[in-house]
Amino acid sequence: MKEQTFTITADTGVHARPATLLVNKAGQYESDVEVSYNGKSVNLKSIMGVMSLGIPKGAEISVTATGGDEEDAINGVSEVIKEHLGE
Amino acid sequence: MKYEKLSNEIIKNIGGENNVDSLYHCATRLRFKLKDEDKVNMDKMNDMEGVVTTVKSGGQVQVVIGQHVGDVYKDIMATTSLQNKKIPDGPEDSNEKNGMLNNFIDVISGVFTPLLGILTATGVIKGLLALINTFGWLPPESGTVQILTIVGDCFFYFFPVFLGYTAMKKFGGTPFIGMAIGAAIIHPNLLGLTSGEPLYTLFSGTVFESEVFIEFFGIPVILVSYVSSVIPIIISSYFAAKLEKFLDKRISSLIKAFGLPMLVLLVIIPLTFLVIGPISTWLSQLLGLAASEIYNLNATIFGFLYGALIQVFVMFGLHWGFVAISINNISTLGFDPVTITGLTAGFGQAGAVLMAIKQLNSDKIKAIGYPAFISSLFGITEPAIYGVTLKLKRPFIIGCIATGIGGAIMGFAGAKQYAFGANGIFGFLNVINPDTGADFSVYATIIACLVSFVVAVILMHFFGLKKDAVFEAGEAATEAIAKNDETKLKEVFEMTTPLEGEMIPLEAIDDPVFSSGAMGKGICVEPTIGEIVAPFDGKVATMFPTKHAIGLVSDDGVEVLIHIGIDTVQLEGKYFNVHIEADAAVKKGDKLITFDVQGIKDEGYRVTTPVIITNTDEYLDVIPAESRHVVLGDKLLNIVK
Repeated sequence: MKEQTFTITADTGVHARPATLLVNKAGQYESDVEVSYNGKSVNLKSIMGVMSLGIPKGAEISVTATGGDEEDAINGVSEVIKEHLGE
Repeated sequence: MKYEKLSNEIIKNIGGENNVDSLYHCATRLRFKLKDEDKVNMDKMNDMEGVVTTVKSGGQVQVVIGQHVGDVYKDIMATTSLQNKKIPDGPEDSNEKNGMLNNFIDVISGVFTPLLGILTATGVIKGLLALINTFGWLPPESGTVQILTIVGDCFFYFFPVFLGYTAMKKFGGTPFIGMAIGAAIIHPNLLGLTSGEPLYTLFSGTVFESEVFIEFFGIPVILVSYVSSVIPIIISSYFAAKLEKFLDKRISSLIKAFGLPMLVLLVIIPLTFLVIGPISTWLSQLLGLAASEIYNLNATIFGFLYGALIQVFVMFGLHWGFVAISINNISTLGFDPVTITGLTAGFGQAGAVLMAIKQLNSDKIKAIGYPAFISSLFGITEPAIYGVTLKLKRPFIIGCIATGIGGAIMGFAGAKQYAFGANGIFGFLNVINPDTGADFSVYATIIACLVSFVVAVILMHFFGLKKDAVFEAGEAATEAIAKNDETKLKEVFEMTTPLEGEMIPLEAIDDPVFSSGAMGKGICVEPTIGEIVAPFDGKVATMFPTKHAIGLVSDDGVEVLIHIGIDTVQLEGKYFNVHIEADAAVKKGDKLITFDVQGIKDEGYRVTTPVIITNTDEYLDVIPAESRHVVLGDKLLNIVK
């Protein structure tokens, strides 16, 4: 299992648009990818799941990947977050 | 070819090859552009094995097949000339005629299909009553018999009400409007209107002589009895549905809820009285006159024609002319030789039904067929005709011919009825002369009934449902009780709209996240009213802090995102009011968010609202309903499991 933590700096948090980008990215990998925020953990391949976390600006989230391509999955998701949501 | 049969069925029910303007396919669907979408037999299409569902959407009729749609498409191209031939504009004459008859029969059977259960049930009750009355088990005037009569008649008497519902549904209108029209034409007050002295008589002294009791804005109304009638309400519903569609686009949504039905009822009900009344009156008077002439010419030929055609006349409500003659004959002569020749109808149809059951041998046809057979023997032919023989077409024709032969025997023997009442296997009782007792004609009548039955069986044996036809016929019969069919695999969730406005295809908006389908398939609504309600029972999955979007999950697991406006996240909640909390359970129709449409527009944002099924991947397909202005309660998306 691989895990990485991110801080969201985008003004509007993880709303529909970036959530879609994240989910589409996560969907490219075989591994199970999860995101947790505020003690709640959801499947990063489900748009509704990700949005249900209501991740606001300044939030600290952690992404975990488990499976054959977990390394790639974390890197891929990480790229999307860095590009669209923060650091 | 693997899908040849399916291909043929699809083309047939889509209105034929000539109805197709163009055809292409996407990942799961055949997409037809048609000349006339009304020619599509939607019920048949949806009941077809191999078709998941069929929807009219975006000027196309889309037939959801599944992953193997490409193969079906290839087979259609191979079996039709859609690819090579330029489709001619004018339909071929011979085909057209055949098509019209088929369409007519398809409409009739489609309208009756949902009613078959109750139709056969009340038919059997009426048969039981015939037993009770004939053998005098209970006094006819007793309360028990009266109430049982009401139980048996409740459906037949108010036929137009039930048919109004199913016909309107079939033609794509609001079913309750059809019911209202059906109720209007059998309104009890109509009976009172035709008693007493007529205002005047039209066409006095001709075959079209018609007594006029009332006028509608000065136009004479020729009233007929629509009790138990079939065709008038179907015709009225057809035009009512057309009118409803026409008005739907032209009436403000503010007054539509009452304005639309009001206009449809105000136009269609008087028109029904004004147009259908005289036409059916005159036609039945003409038929009555023709009947008398032919009878005087040759009673045997008359018996054949009357027997063969009576069921068709009854269907159109044109038998009243004969009934009038018959009543007149009995009151003046004491007997009537005309309508009694139709007595064999029950036996002809019964024979046809019995053989259809044997030849198709499916549980489905048995479920409807046996009660239809029984009630047919008691002279109640509706379950047999509408449940079995008419939709299989050939058994109906065979039943009619067999009836005609029985009728000819009765005509030849000079059978006369001295009373009304008994029917079916007790019908011969009417033929017994109360003064002189049973004579040759009574035995001839009994023989005629037996002959009709046997002839129907024999004709069915030689010309009945062939192997090829068995499949098609089996399907038609399947329709009859498809509603109760547990093996039905397809499931389509029809999601109603969460807001009111104009539907816009998702692809048409210039925001790639939505239009590319990256979030899932769906539709946009350009709102006219700033209110979002729950489109199903479920739970609020996500409520954005900026209040511009809400995610819901239905109890069945459908996830929908309703995103009010484009880029409206930047308004940070201004103009939005939330009426529900995250995680809350919601019932369909619960108010979720209200928003100020004009305020958002004034800030320079588009208020176009994508409604997206975010777990589209879990479904075979998500297809928008027909593009139009939707109000709360209207269907928005078909989610195909």
